Amino acid sequence: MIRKTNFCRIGLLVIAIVLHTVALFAQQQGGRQVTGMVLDEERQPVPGVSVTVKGVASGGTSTGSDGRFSLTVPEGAQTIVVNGVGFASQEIEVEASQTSVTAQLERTVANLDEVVVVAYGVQKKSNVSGAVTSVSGERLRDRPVANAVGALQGAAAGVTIQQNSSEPGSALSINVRGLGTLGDANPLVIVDGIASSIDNLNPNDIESISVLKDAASSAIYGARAANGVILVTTKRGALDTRAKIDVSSMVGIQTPTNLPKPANSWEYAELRNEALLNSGLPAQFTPDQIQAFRDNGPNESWIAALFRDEALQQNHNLSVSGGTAATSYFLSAGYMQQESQFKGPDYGLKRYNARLNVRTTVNDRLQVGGIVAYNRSDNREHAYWTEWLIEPVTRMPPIYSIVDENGNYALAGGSNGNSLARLEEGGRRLFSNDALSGNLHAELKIAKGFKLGGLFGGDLKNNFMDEFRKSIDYAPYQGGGDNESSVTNQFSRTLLLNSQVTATYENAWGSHQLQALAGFSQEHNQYRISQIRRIGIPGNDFGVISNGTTTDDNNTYGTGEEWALTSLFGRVNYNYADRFLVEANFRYDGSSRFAKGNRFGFFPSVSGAWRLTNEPAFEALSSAFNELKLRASWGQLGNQNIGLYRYLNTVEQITPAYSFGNAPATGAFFEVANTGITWETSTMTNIGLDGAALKNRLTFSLEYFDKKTSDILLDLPVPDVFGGGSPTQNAGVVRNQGFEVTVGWRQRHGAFSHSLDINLSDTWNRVLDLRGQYYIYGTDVNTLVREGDPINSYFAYKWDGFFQNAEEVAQGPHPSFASQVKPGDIRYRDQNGDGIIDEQDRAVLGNPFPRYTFGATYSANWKGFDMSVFLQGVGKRSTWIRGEATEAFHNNNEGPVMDFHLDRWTPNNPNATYPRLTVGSESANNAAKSDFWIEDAAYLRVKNLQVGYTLPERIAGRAGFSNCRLYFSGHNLLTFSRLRAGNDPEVFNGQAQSGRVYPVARVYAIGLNFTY
Amino acid sequence: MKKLIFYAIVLGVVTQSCKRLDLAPLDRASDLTFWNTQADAVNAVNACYGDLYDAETWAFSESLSDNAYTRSGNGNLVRDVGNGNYDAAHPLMQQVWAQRYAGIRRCNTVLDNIDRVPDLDEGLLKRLKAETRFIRAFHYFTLMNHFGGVPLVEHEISIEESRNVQRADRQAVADFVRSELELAYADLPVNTEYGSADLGRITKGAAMGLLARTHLYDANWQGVIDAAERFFANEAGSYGLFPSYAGLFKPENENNQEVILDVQYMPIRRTHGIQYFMIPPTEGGYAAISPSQELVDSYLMENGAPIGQAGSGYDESNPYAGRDPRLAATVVYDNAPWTRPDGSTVTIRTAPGNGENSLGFSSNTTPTGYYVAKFFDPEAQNLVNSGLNLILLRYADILLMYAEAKNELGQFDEAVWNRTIAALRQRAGFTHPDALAFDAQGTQDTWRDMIRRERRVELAMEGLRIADIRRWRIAENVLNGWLHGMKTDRSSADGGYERVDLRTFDAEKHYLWPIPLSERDRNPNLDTNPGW
Repeated sequence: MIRKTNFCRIGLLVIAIVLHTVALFAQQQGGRQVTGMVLDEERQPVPGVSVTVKGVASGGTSTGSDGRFSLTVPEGAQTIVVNGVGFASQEIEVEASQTSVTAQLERTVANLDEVVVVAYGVQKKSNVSGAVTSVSGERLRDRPVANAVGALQGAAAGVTIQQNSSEPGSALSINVRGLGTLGDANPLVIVDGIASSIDNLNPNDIESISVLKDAASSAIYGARAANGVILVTTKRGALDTRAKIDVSSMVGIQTPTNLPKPANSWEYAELRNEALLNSGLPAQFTPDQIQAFRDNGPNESWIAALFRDEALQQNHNLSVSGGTAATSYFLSAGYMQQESQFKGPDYGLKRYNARLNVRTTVNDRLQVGGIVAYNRSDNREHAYWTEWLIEPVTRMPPIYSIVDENGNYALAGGSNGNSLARLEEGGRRLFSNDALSGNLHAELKIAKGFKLGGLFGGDLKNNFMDEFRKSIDYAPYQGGGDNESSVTNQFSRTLLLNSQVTATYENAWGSHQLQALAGFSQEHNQYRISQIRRIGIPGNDFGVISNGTTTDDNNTYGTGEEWALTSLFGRVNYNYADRFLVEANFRYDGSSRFAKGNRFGFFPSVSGAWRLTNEPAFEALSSAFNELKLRASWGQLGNQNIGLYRYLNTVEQITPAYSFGNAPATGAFFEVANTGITWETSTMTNIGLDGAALKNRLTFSLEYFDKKTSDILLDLPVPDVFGGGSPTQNAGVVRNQGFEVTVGWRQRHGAFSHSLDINLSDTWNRVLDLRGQYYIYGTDVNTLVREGDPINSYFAYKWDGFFQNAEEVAQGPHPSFASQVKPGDIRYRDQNGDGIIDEQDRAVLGNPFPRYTFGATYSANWKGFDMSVFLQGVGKRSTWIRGEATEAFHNNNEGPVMDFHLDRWTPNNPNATYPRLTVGSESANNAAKSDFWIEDAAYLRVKNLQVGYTLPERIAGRAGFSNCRLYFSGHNLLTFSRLRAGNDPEVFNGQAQSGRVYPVARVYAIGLNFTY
Repeated sequence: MKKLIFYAIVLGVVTQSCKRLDLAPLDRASDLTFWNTQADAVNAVNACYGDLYDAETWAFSESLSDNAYTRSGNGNLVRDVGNGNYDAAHPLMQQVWAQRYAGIRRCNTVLDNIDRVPDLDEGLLKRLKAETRFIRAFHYFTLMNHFGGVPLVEHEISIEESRNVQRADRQAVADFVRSELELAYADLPVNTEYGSADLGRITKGAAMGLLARTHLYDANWQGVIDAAERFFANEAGSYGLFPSYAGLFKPENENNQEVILDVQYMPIRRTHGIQYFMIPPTEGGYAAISPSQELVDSYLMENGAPIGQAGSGYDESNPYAGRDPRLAATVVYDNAPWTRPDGSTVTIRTAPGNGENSLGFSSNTTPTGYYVAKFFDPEAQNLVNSGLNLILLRYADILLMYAEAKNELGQFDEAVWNRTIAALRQRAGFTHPDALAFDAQGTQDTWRDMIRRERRVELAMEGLRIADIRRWRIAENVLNGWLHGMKTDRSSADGGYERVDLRTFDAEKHYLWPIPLSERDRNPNLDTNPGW
């Protein structure tokens, strides 16, 4: 085991080499100037095309808007390479005396020579041997979504993005290739080289996103790569181009897609009577009352009453980019506003983004650059918790009005609060979050092919929360529970600092090409938080801390934590004649999350690829395929995503732990830890096939992977007799397998071109080893972790139809948990045949993880018109829906009764979809945990539809624009799902869906982009 | 200049490098440095007190009995268990089991380590250990009452050991509890010895009182009498009845002479919210714990006669008039007066069709027609968060235990009557001579009924009824069939009394809870109780 000190020494050694070599090399190289012009098939100038000298990695340029370029060609060099997006790469021989050239490019429909961002560098796509999916920033544009994660949904195979809530400011969850771990399964996100998050990035600033999916491509991030790595690269300016100004604006309206549908008030009253009578209780409503509801109402959907018909969403972005011969720059500013769909004073999110990316060539040995990005988000929301607002209105029967005939907020049904009053009069919570991130980087050429790089960066987040909860006077109603006003301020600061040093070496001889990389990285993260809460604001106004009358000590605190990670890493690539590609990676990580002896982990990987189409022996193949590449990889990855300090037995002193004689007393609490915990390790094998055929019109990529995660870090439940919680243990083995298919088709018929991109992926897992134990989690729903079954499988009774008559009830099987079973009740399958339904009869009944996730985009262009449709969905998934989202009279409440409850069992409706209606103890049988409540959550959604028109250049040009596009974009336009009304198939809040969420929004937007 | 930039960057890298990987928490110590000071010892023991009882578990436990009904699943899922719809997978079993064993571990940690503290005052060390022993005994006593025999864990155990422990039989647990209480009794101070900063700590009285209760639950009548007599002789401390029954439970009278053991709370910083589940909606409540008609019917008339007795004066159409004064102090019934925090008085209407507190008005109103008055704290923050202490054992209970034990041994007489039941009735506010006079014509059986009824109403809503009906073996009678609410005549069934909950009690298995399924899943050595 290398000790920490040695480790640092190695890092310092690398730095010493850097310093030394900087001093050694400072001279300039000579060369000659070549100018030229790049034209397309119609002999029109092509701007923005990269022009480089073959074999010389730096010093390239790109064409200006007139298609012209100027390039320094070193002595002895003969070949210029011209590379433009959408065009076939072209090599031009330049005679020693030649000073000007003209290149004419051919359009391609697919470009396998595009460059993809990989760990610590870029690679030509054709040379990638691992499983990497790249999404260009272009694909994320012009979508009316609040953040880049939303735009990424469905765009990359093997990446599952789920939307827990559409409420402004809420995050989406990202999962790469299934659940390898029982703990935190979020991928590592790296933005411009520094671990960060995508949530607050301006989608318009993104150049590309690469998802590193297999061990080979991500092992170099060792410690945190087990759940995949997402690399985000932001835009840069092009050298030698005049300033380009891009403006994009989009304005849209949001409407709720899918609200629960309560039954009408008269239907409610009839069903309530029926449920009471079924439960041996007297009816509540007389026929006259029911008729009165039918004639005069009320008939009010309380949940619909909380939302506005439409809410505004807008995005505006401005960027300026360009470059001189030595310096490129990209400057952008963005503004995003998403109003909340909730009624109430100005709720919603405003985000401001600004970014500056600069890079300059100091001399032909040294390049330096810097990135600085700032974002501020101001989110204003109600002062309550959304689920508390939605839960009571979902339960409320439509026989009451949320605002009574005198205009007062009603405390109907004896409730002690009114969600609409809380929204409109209950105060607000303001989040003011600032984030500043950036880095300084440098690259130094030391000798031919040998470069050193350094990067120092950080990510600073300052978050401030200011909540003012006002007391609400419900007069003339009595007993409102919202009579306490309070102010809460919370401040937190997170600072991540990361420094990296890398050395790279590149050489080519004959048919051999070699690249090597070695590096050292140090990360340190510091988090501090403090909060103060004071209650009782006299006058219910001027909500600042100073005006509170009493400090709420239990909600006043301050604390913090830190972690650090020190790593060495390396990579070697070898390419033989563009036929065989081999790559090996390693990372050696030391983490502060483990105790001394268990701190370091070594994570190796290898991968290889065989480009069959470049193989002389397979000439026949290359006539059928433009590209065919077979890939295979193997590697190991680590996961340390557990809480901090979990290896330490600690004592926490809490005041008040108790009180004696009304004075607080301090108590000491012991946290039992497992001091021996160490890395969770995933071993992953991946095979893939990439190809292109029919003149590159058809491209495809197939992947299969097999990932085995061992020493899973798990808070393994221990017998409660232990009495000390569940210490984290390295406890088991889980296997994930999956495949991904990506197919693209691009075709052009004169002025009409169209394309279709489809991706489909599937991942399935099984627990292989859990030391012979099994665990059942949950109270509202049960999930099981057991050897041989998928992680977190639903575990419940199997629904076996409804009892139709007394004889059937008498025959059983009889539930052990319910004494009253009658015709119309749910019958459960007696798995062990003993005539009794008890815990022995529980079975594995699906799991909530999505299978067969897919996305499909069809785009077409004709002259200035363009359109695209993006479909996205999940082929197989189970969702356990619980609570008032699905159960009539849930938990003995007055409601809800939804439209789908009308089809309940009665002697006259034996083929009902819902059991007999009951309340209270009479519901014990039907409310048991069974797959009657587990629904098929597969869906297909028209996620985005765009129709646009780009002004012809001659018209736009007259106004000084080089590009001007006007479009309509619609989001979440249409959904096909088998779920009952009000339950969105995308919503996934843990193991169960209880319907207490802000509804998914449908957005209609129009936008305008132009470039000046 | 160019080089300067590069050096600056490299310098950044260097200074940032070689951060330590040994990062200790900012907010707490490692256990290696603990057990060094007197404060460590005291704080470790203080942490054990919080486990005595969770306020909601305590409040809801009344609905396991025939005294009350919990309509919602709020808090502790007692509705299902109360009406017999449960099995070993029911979360309530696991909750109680897990909370008690977590508390036991905290106590074991103290008892295994406290001797390590250097130079700790001998007297303080003994007292702290005795407090801890008491709390641990209390956990075992509670477990034993629900589950019978349970694993006896007397030291901090490893996870491996926890996977293999076996149940001790009930007798072994009971013997352990009693021997621990006797050890604690020897070293604890009496109630008057504690200064005001230690009010609420375990006393000799608490140890002896709980010992009495363990004997009571085992029908060891002489044990009960011996324990009670230590109180009468002032050996176990100095206790007496608080003059006002209703006032006994008010925040201004905390720590009064009747309190032997309580869970201490304080305003703002350590509060509970149980009154939210008890008081009428117009007063800020949500009816989740509703007293039953069966409880209301068990209150005597003010002349000492049960309502069903000929000549009692009971009027079904005016049922709350002329009753035991403890009824009004415990239960909010139709037309009961209610004093608000601002001192004003309103009338609570619970009969159907009378507004926002009335039966059937909504899912937040009482399904029985009754709310709970007993623990209302008018000073509670936001009308919900109260610092009121919860009394677990009070002197009245010593008197009731003593009366019951004396009667079971055939020793009930006028002297015992005067010392116990008569004293309680006087304190409650009875003035009618018939209610206070000894019934010399009574038999052991009639006195038994009388003492049990007195116990039920005196201690109503204090969480003790379920243990009483189990030990009296009357659960199959009182926990079967419909539980009722007030008479509304909305239906002609059951004489017009509201049907609230249809209950089932199977004497073959329901006297003991099953061992939690989750626990048996993790430990193959655990068996369960008969019938499960």
